[in-house]
Amino acid sequence: MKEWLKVVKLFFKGAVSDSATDKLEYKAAVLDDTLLTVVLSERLGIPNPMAYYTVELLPYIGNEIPGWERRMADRESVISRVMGEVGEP
Amino acid sequence: MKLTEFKTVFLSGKGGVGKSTVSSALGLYFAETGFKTLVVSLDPAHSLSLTFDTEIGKKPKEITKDLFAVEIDPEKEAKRYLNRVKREARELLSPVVIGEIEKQIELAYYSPGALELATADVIYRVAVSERKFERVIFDTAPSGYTVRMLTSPELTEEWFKRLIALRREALKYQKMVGEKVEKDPVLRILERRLKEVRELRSLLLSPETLIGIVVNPQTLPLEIGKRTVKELSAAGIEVKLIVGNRVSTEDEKELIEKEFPQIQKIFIPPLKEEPRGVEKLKGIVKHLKEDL
Repeated sequence: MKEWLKVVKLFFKGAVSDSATDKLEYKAAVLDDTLLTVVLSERLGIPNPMAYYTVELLPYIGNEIPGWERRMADRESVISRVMGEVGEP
Repeated sequence: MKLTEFKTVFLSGKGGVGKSTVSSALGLYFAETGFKTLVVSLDPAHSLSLTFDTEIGKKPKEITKDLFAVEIDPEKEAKRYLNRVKREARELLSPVVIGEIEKQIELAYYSPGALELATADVIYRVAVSERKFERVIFDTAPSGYTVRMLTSPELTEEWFKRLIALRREALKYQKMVGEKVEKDPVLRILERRLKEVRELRSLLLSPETLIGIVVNPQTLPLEIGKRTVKELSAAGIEVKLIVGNRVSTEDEKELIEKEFPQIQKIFIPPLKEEPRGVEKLKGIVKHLKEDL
């Protein structure tokens, strides 16, 4: 019985902390996307007067670009993510 | 304030009014007063080699006692910087994205404001971070556009601060999930830029910095001079000196007085001979001393 309780405890701990980890990873990813959006804003038609300075960041964040492009193009996923995060009205 | 008390000088003005000549003469004046002085040309069509009558390159060259001159091309500086970024990109990025990113980096050369920011970088390096001279004179002034970008905190400083905050937050979350976060290069770059922007702003706003405009007694140079005064004052920077170059008559002096009533002036009469070389430049230094 004690053993079984331990397993149940572990299960819930795992479930909770895992979802917390997911949330944090997700939050970090959203912030990384925001940074890329600022650096690559010209691709979205928004002028960036600091483009000359911000290209210096590309060697360090450039590997994320394909994912960023996919997410930018996939409106539905952006919206559904926001819904998931904020909740439907 | 005496002219020689200013530690950094920028001279603006329409092409051909004699910015390089006046800068060179001012440099000579500072050096004669005993200050180790550097005259910097940022104009791609360099003319310091002409005014000092000796070949000047991108390394400071000694002209006479305490006087040095250098010619730096911001276009070349921009290319060098972007090539460095490209090299870093090739080292760090996956082959999947590299082609696209190299293009992006090349395009930054043509992005609005690129050359102005490259010029700002050169000014920062020469006058702030690697400063080796007591007096530094630039034969160009940053444009109204650059000055506005550098001096208004909302435009640049706040922007960098927000990006830094954003990056810090992302790194914090990554750390919380146990990812190893070493000294982040993105944060390092953003913080360096923020520092540069702040220090450039305090250089431009410093009471020890002189921004002057060189004019001739003709409509076009005067109009452009007036526009520069207006643009700079809109950015919070006061033009403290007007140099009337090639001014011979009282009428011409009056014309300039009338256009810039609030600003201190120096007048230089036309010379019989083109002022090339240190000896002939002394003919101008004489007027710089007399008039203030």
